[in-house]
Amino acid sequence: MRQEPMWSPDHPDPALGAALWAALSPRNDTAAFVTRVLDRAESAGVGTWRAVLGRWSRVAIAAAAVLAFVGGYLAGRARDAGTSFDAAWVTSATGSEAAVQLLATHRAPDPSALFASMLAN
Amino acid sequence: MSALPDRDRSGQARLDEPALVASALAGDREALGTLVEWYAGSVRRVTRAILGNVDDAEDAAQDGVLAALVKLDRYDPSRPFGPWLLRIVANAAIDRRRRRTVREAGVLGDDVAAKGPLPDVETERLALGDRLRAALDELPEHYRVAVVLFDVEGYSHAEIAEILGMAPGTVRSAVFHARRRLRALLDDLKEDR
Repeated sequence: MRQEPMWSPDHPDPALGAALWAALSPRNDTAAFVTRVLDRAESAGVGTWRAVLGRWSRVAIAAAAVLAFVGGYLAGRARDAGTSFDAAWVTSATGSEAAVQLLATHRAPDPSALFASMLAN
Repeated sequence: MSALPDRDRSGQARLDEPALVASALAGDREALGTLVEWYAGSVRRVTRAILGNVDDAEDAAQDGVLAALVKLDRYDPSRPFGPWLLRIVANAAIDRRRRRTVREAGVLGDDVAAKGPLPDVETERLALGDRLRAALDELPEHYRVAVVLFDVEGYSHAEIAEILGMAPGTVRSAVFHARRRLRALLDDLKEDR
């Protein structure tokens, strides 16, 4: 009586695998295949200094964009800090809170603040 | 004979693959060559299983590997390289097969029907490899690739599912049906001897 081989759907079947391997494996010319692929890869610029540089330049552009954003944010905050110093100076020099709104702000003066300032003086 | 000369039977990827990919990306041609050499066998068997024709399979293997190398910087080194590469290669081969089918449908016509099946005598003379390839060619495309990736290349159902973009259960079923048909052929051949 012929004994059936034990095989599991979860494990490769060695007999079938070996038969398929023999049927599908190309003749022994791996080196030629590798050479052909590498030549084509080189023509396509894979692994060349241009490709490496191109990849780094993409990283550099992204890093520069992030730096510009962070730098802009910090510069904005520094300018706000400068404004509060000016406000303190204006208050002490003029003795008027309303003058701060006229002199120590980057926004256009509020008309009501301007009117209050005129009344105060 | 080892069924897997260039890959561990357990399906484990080589540990130094990420380093090799990094070197290849940095322009190391030798690392690139080693990477291609490691997977040349698997890649060529898979394209042969999909396309049947040796020349088409060879072209598809080269095109597929080249496509993968061009986008090597998109490979995630925390994942195994083999499934990533084979997915690109299998897609290249499937695309080529579809283009060929469309082309042949336009060129061939009555000629195919006139040729008919091979006579039994001729079929008997075919070697085991030819008969296996012919049997493979009769199987649906995903059966062919699934059984080759599982039984020849040693990938798991989950890895094959990733390569073919289908559910692991579908892969399991494809391997089961493909095996059943191919085993029947192998058993017939054994009994004939």
